[in-house]
Amino acid sequence: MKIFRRNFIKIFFLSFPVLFLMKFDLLSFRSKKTKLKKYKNFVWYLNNND
Amino acid sequence: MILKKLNSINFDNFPVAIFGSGPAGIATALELEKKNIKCLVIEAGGENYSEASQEFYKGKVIGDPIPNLSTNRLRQFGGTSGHWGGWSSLLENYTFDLWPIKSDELKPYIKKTCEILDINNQFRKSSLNEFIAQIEFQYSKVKFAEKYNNHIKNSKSILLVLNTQLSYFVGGKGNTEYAVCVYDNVIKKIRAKYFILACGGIENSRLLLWTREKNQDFIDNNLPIGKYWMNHPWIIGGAGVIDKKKLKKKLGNNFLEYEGPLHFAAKKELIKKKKILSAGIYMSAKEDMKLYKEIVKDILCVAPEYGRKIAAKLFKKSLKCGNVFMNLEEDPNPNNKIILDEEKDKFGIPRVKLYYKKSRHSLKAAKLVLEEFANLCRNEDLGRIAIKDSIYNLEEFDSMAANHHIGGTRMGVNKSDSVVNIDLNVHNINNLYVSGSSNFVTSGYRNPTFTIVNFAIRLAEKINERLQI
Repeated sequence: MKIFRRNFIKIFFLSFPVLFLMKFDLLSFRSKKTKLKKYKNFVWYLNNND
Repeated sequence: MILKKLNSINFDNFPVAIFGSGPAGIATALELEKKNIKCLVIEAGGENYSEASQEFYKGKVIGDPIPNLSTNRLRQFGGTSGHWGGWSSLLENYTFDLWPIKSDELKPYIKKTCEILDINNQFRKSSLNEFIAQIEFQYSKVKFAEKYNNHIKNSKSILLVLNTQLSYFVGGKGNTEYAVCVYDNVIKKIRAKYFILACGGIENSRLLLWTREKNQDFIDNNLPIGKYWMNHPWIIGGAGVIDKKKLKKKLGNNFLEYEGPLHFAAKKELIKKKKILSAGIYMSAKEDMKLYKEIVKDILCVAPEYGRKIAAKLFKKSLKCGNVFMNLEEDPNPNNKIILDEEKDKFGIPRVKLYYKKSRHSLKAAKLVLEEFANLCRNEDLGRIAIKDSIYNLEEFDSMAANHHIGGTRMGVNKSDSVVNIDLNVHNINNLYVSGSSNFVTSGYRNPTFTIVNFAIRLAEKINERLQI
């Protein structure tokens, strides 16, 4: 039981930075970059993948 | 009672004389009636619209164009409520930041204002993010002449006299003695304890300026009458598409479901952060199909991936597509002013000369508020917004209308930059009041009529308090 608990805590803390990076990645995915495109008499506010 | 012309009735036994029968004048008269205070209401126009009456409103505009002064206001019973759009809401709380009175002081009169305008007392606001909110207007269908015609006809407290033009007030030593009124070639002096000038956002300045010219020692020469004139430039800021379904999903229970245009506005946080004036954004309730198709085509050109998604939802009710309109605030500028022209009307009253220059600050606000909204829509995938390039490049905006006439007799504490005090009493004149949007210190971006009526009801209370002493 002790070994299981130790391993669990080890895995949890080892994977913590990975989880953090995943979350960070998720956030960066959400804040899309603006792409401005002039067309006719307007400037369109678009996303990169639009 | 309603009289169509001045006759031999003794007009001098009224404690209150109100000049103007638009929303400001009628709202005060109705509230005074509830308190059993008799009042005389003098209206320059007739019962209905007439071109001959409108002719008196002609004036000159120097500077940037303002639509014809004789068509964007009405000189008739009910005033400009005869053709207003009915958009109703109290000004934003933050609009009062520069006023000597706070919005809380007007809250006790909101319920009565809603009753007069026949609207729900519901003005919700729902935050989309830190800087932009969905907002709600109520739409009044009240035309004051239609709604209150029978009421005033049968009233024992209100006497409305039509076709009678106020020319000027006469007084001295801080007191108004009488008002000089004209009907055809008949000149009548009207006496009362209290006089209320409620003739609209241009006439209030014009008649006070004429009063000052007619009796030099009556009104302080230093009062900035006619100055700090403003309006709400109404512009097309851009175009775009909004998915109402996605908006509803984002706001959840806080989505404001209402009929009419989809309204948004800058929050105080944005105004503070960017140091800009306020602005409102809206998209029409009714789609212009030709424009709708054009915008979808444009989106397909600039953003093919997104355009395909939009095209799949084409003509679905949830897709709002069209022009993005804006109501802009203007900053109070003493150089935007009403002065008296040399040309006079049929009654010998000088016509107005309006000096007006559009504000660069309004242009900057249009760009930054719309940019914030466009980025919000893009980032949250609520839609896609385009800004007109003349606004994006901070070159200019074309104002489609300037129907809200604000300032000229602004409220304040100092005589150097205001004409009336917080009770709407002209500085140093004990018994002369001014009512209407001419008293507004700043314009905000919201339509003024609700606030005009709100202040008019409050004014009736102030007069009642004074009559009780």
